Amino acid sequence: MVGASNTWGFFPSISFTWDLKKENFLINVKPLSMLKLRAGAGQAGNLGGISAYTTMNTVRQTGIVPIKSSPTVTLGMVRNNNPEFKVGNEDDIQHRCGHGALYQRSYTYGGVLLFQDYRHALCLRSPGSAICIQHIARKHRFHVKQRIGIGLSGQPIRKKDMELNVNMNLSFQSNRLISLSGKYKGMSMSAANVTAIGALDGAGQNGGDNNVVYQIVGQPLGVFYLPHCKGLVKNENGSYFYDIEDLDHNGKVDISDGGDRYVAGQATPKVILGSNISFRYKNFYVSIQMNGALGHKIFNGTGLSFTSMACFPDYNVLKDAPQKNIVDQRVSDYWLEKGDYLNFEHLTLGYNVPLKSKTLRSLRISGNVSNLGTITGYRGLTPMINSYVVNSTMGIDDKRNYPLFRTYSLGLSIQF
Amino acid sequence: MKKIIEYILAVPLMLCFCSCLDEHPKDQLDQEEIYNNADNIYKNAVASLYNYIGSNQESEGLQGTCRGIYDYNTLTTDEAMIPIRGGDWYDGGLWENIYQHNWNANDISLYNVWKYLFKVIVISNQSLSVIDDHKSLLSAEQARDFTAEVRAVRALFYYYAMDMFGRVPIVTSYDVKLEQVTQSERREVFDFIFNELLDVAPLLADEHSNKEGTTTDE
Repeated sequence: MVGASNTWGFFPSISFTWDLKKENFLINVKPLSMLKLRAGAGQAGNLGGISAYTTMNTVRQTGIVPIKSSPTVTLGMVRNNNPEFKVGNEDDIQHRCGHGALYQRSYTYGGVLLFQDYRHALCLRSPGSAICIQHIARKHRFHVKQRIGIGLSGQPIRKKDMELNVNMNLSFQSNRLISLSGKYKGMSMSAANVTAIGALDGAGQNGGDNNVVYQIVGQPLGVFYLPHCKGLVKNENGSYFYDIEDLDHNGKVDISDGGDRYVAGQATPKVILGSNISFRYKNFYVSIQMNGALGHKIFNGTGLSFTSMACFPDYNVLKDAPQKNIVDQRVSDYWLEKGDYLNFEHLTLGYNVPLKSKTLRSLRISGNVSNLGTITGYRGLTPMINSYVVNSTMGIDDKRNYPLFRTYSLGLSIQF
Repeated sequence: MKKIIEYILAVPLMLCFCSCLDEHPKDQLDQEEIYNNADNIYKNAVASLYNYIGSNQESEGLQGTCRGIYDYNTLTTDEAMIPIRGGDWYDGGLWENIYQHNWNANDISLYNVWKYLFKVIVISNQSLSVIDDHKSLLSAEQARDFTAEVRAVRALFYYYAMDMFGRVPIVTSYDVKLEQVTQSERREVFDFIFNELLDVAPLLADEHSNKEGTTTDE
């Protein structure tokens, strides 16, 4: 993966822990069973995004051509190799700051506080230029991440007949793209500061000014860079179109990449939460599992495509489309919606049948509902789309999601 | 005792990791192996260039493929246009912009055409350096003829690059620094193509191209 002379690297890091609980001022504080402060800083090598053999002069089949009228398989290079490629450590600094842990009275209440701040460089494949077809450069694709996580877990109630278990995770995160330039054979190469990574697709939506999600230097990785829609305007024939604002005030509305677009939000959530609560009363128990995300947006491409009456009757449209009577397929922030949601993944009700038998050790009857429901303001089928992985689907709901289905199941578990 | 055993075990483990650093991909051949005799050099450095005349990729291929040279030369004129049918073929205003000459530097399909043409030019330059580096395996005539054929194909791609973009950089060697690449005037590019073809024409086969499937002087 790296050049032959760069197969070894040195990535030092250091960290320390301070066990506060053992200090004199805390040693006698009874409700606290543990308090630790950890901090570390260092460098980390990163091979993310690099495929194997990029540094070697290897060839593959390029096709079949006629030579003296007979078809012949030819071989050739598929990309320029970068023999000096290395995982540098001069810039790939990874810090971790203030990583603290707090525990109170084991099993009644616990909390973890975590704060991470790290930056890393990813390596990516550069497009061709006038001198090479495609190569792997060590791109300084800096990407600062900050994360604060709060986790709570404990048993607020713990009695013979009654028990309550609560698990909660809350994580705040942010990231920023710092630079997209790198080096190849000693020459510095740079990529455009604004690059599209995700677009709408499908009939009538293929190519052109359909880009939605971009990577922009100085912004979080994956932002919506869209034209601004001021509202709807009525045509003479009674249909409506999107009123796109001339953001750069040059007297002309241009929705192409370099035109009237602005950063309208980010595709990755700012807050992620997960929770698991279970409650037992005597032999009955109930547990619920939830997850959610906040602070991100979703482009409702499905809504855009199936609202445009231009498609009808060749394609079906949404129920309210005839009434809205929009005949326009252009992308704009009109279809950018908040992606905040809280999803109830599982709800389980159960009963442990009290037994006095010697052959049966336990008998449990339970009922489970999966995908009980989602609380969200998002108007599409589900807000649970790809909001995390940087690829062409990130942040875009585009006619590709199958509706989530709710499953009911009954269970009987017997232990002998 | 336990410590000693741990150290003894660590040594082969380290060696194991070291051997991983030596890569020998089984699904790829080393470049030197495909240029080991005159036949292979012709096949893989010269004839392989004809793979790029056509393509199954959008925006690639000299003719026909969608959003490529044909579209930009035909749909930009009165010869043809692609209208919207219902919601179909709107495609973010792509076809409308082509017909109305509203494209700009951010046009992705246009950029893909540029990348395609220069990819073949770069590969042609690489072929020239392969022929030059392996002269010992070729007779003087072979080296001369192979070079002539590659230059003819490269001129063809330069012709399309000039026709599409006008002031394109003339890059004639595989080992060029990015700083040395400068834009050339259209006139210079045309003269370059014209002189290249005049230079190599006498060295090409005296056959009809359709018979050989290669560049000839007929």
